[in-house]
Amino acid sequence: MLTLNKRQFLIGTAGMTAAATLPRLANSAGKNIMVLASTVDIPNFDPHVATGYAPQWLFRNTYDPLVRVVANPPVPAPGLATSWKQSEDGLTYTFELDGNAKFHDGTPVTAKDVEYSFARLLRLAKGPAWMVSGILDQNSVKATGEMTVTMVLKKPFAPLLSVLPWMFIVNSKVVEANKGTDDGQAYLLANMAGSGAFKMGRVKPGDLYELIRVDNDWHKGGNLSGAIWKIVREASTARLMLQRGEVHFALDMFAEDMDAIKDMPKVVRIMEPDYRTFTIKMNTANGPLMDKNLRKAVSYAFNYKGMLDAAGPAQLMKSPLPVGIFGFDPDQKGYDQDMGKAKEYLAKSNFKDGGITLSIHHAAGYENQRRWCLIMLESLKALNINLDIRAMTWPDTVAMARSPEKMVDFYSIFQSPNYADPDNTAFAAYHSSRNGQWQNPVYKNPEVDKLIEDARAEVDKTKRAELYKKFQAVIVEDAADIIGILELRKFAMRDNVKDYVFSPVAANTMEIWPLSIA
Amino acid sequence: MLLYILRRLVLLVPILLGLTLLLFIVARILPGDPVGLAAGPNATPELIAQMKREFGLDQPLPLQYWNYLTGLVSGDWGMSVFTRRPVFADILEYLPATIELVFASLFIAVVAGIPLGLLTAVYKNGPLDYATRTLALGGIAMPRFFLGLLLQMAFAAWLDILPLSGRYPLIESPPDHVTGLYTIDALIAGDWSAFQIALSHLALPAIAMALSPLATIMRMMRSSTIEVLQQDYVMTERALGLSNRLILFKYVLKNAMTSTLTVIGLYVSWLLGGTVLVETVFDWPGLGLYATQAILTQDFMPVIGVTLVIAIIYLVAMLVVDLLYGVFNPKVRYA
Amino acid sequence: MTMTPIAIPKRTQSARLENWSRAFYRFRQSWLSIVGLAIVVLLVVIAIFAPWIVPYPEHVVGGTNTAARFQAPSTDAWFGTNALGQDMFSLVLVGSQVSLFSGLAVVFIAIVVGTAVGAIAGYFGGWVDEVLMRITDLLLTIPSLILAMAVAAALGTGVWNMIIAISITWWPAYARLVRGEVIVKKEEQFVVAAHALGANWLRILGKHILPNIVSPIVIKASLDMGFAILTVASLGFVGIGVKPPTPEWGTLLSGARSYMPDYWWTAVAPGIAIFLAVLAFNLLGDGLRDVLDPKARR
Repeated sequence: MLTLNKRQFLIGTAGMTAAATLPRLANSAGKNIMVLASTVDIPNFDPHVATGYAPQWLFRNTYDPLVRVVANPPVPAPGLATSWKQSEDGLTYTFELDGNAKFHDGTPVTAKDVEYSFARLLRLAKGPAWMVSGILDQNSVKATGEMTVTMVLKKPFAPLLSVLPWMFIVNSKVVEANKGTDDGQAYLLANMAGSGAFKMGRVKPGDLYELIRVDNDWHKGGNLSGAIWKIVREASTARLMLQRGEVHFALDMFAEDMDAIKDMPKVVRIMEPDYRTFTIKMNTANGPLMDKNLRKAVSYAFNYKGMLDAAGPAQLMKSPLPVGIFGFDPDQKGYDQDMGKAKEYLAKSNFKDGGITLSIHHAAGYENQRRWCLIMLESLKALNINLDIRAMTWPDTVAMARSPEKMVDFYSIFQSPNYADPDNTAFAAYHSSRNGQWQNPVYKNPEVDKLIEDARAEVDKTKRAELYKKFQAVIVEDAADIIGILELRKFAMRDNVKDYVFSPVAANTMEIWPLSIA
Repeated sequence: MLLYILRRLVLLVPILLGLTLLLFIVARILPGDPVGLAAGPNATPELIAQMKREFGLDQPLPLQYWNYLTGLVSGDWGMSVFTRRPVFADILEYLPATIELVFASLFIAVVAGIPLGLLTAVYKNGPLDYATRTLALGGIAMPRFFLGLLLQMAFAAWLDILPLSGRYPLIESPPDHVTGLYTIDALIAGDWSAFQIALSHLALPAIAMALSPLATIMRMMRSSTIEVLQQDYVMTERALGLSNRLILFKYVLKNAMTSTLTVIGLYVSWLLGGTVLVETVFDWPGLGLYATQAILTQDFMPVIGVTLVIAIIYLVAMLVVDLLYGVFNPKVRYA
Repeated sequence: MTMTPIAIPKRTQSARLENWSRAFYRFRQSWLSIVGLAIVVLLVVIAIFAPWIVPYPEHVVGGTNTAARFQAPSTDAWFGTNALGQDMFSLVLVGSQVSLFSGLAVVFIAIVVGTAVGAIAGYFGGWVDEVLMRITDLLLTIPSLILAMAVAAALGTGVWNMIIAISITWWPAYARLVRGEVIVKKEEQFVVAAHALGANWLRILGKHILPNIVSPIVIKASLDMGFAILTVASLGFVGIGVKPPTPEWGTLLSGARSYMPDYWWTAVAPGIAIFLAVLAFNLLGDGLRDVLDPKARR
């Protein structure tokens, strides 16, 4: 009797455990919540302050710009502005706003809000303000009607419509009411004042951010009722979650993950070339790498082949500009590994026999960057130079970029252009006005600055291309960066996601509100 | 007895004071630039100075400590630079997940450890004995994070019968918050399917955590049972014809309670602090994960908060364990 | 100070020898302890000679071979290769150096600091005891792993920083142990006698008390070695460990997470290495306890 009871008990327990495993996604019916897996956190919700890919994704779905960017090749599309006109001289733009557009508090988006937002953006001079520096100032954008905005440029700027998608409009009433002493920065750090399709739900830093569709959303399209930005630090975990249908988009995938999901049912791989560059910037403002000969020695010593092998589908860059973009110089050859030349330049430098230790950082958890650092370590060994490798979180990286003294000798950085124009990469990554920012912490060269500024304002295409050719030659000759690699953009997505169209600018910050889940 | 409890509680006060002072000093000695990090990439020196004022970091150290202490009492445990929220609110949010995990693993350890210990003692030197003892040796030596990884790969990735990570499906809303322990909350709400979902998420991390206390409890149970069975009075009763089963029930139950209590006493701190690794593997949103994030971003207020909370739980648990010892063993006197 | 003619009786050498041989006999009785000892000896040998015996010493110091990435275990690479084509067998073997060395260093520092604090507290008693033991108790209430992580993260990566961080959380247990033993031994005849003969406290502690409490310390130390190794690996696993390219088991395992389950060998080799090392020291510790502390035998 007793043994029977015991056995019955055991069977009962086993049954319970088995039952517990069954109803995995039982009551999710009726809601269309898209889950995106990323390795990156969203540290700041202020669209006029924060940069980086995770915040940008947030802004594109909770705020609206005047003009959006869609499709491949990318084209401008209506955002808050339904139409726009450009004057003959290319200096005046007039935008007509969408009368349907409403902020989250239900009030309409007016020309006043647009004027306020651009004034605030340019007053703070943070976030994406650099894109229009020298082109617009605090007074350049004016409400010339209830729903009409006029923008007067200081000088012609060809990519204007391509940079507007990154300048978001805030609710002036809400920001004014919470202005504080810092122009509302403390408030917008953790609060929303937008007109986008989603508002903020659960906020769990380091874990997840939940977006909830706004009631009576004025945007047309998509069937999502919500979205979750889930921080998954391991690519392999993200991939397994995708396989199990727990996430719809895995944004940070490596080549190994793409191989692993090749034949996986219900999963779609997205592997597209885009303009995201990876370079290893050298500390030209502090430490041994101020020595140009040493920079050249390192440029010749680096094992580019190993970098490519370790990367998966990718191509090596030959110049600071992404291959194929307007102005890219196909004749520029960059550097190849050549130990003879490396030693030659080392001998000319102040560190003839090496014997120094340099530092390099990589983004914590970013596997390919870690590998490239190890390849750098191996390459430098041949020059009798030691390398100290540091994994750093994004906030640490940004903090380090603020001063040359704190910055490592080698600075690993990806740059995703926000507009398909060489000005983006050139200005963000090499113009000295960006010093102290993560995109270009230290590099400063008056000749380069002049070239970038001239090219930015040049209307004649041939002359412009010529300027960029010169720019590339100067950067390569100055050995400012270890010219790196263009990886294929690698995403994976569940096949029940509908209406997704790849766009090569800022592909990882896609708008999700037009998407649907079948 | 009441007096004893009171005295113990009063004694906690200087310990806690010392603890806060110690943690405060440690945090101030450690290098790092949390404000610079919090201020963001484009912060001006003015903004940094302003944030320093807001965090009270520009005052003299003793004053900072006093402010911290008075804040602690009123529930102001400082701000987390990383989550931009009050540390106390963060801890309240993350604590239940860790408590649930610790309870679940202690439950597994006790429920499996006691009968196993008993059986191996009764069938000493039999095959079961050797098998379980070897397992126990391995259980203590097995790194939790490695075991967690293996379990994850086996049951989630390969067999696909248990969830990979997390506490609840992302797109679902967990049961209504009562205790914050999802399994308990689901039971309170009478939602059987929510209970199953919560339990299925809990299973693997709890097992990964449970192995070491399980092994310990089993060894203790085994040795104490063997000892009991060799006592003179047991021999006598056996000779008098009392059945083995009765003897076991009569004497061993007490042992079971004592060894359980001892293990809880031994492991509470270990489990609470040790969830760090398992929470990392299973992306379990508890104190450990929270502390790890804070540590990696050099954000010291959360680390102090978590440490303090764990220390308090540990001290209270110790008190409870000591009291319960007396309940099960009248020989213990409260002096 | 010189000894007075009335010497305190010493145990004869032969009695000690006899004790040891009896101890060794007891140790041999338990085959598990022998297994533990064997693995420990093997580990030490590997740790010392690894740089000369591994098949790909260049990989250990950062060399890569990107042409042979993610090779499954084979006769060329017994444990397979990793993302950079480095031989896992070589990495894991050399990884024993960091683990053993830091484990030893942690336990050593803990013994030195813990014994000093515990002996002084136990010997002098009174307010010295109160102050020292309150600090010790405080440290014991703090979750050690979190504290070690916080300190190690603040100090930055590196073997020594890691050792310091773990040691901070490790010594209080020894202080408690030694204090208890010292209080007991303090009352014994030979100590009282030495005191009466005018020996100063340093001499009494160093010559008379401490040599007599070596065994409990040794037992605890050998049992602790395993956990020290585990803690070192844990720090490596959460990403606060040694500087690359130094191979360390926890760090290797942490990196391998990204490749599970497809390239499982990158995780399994370091994982099993940690397991074996900890197990071996635990077995050895158990054996030593049986030998040196027969009362604890079960």
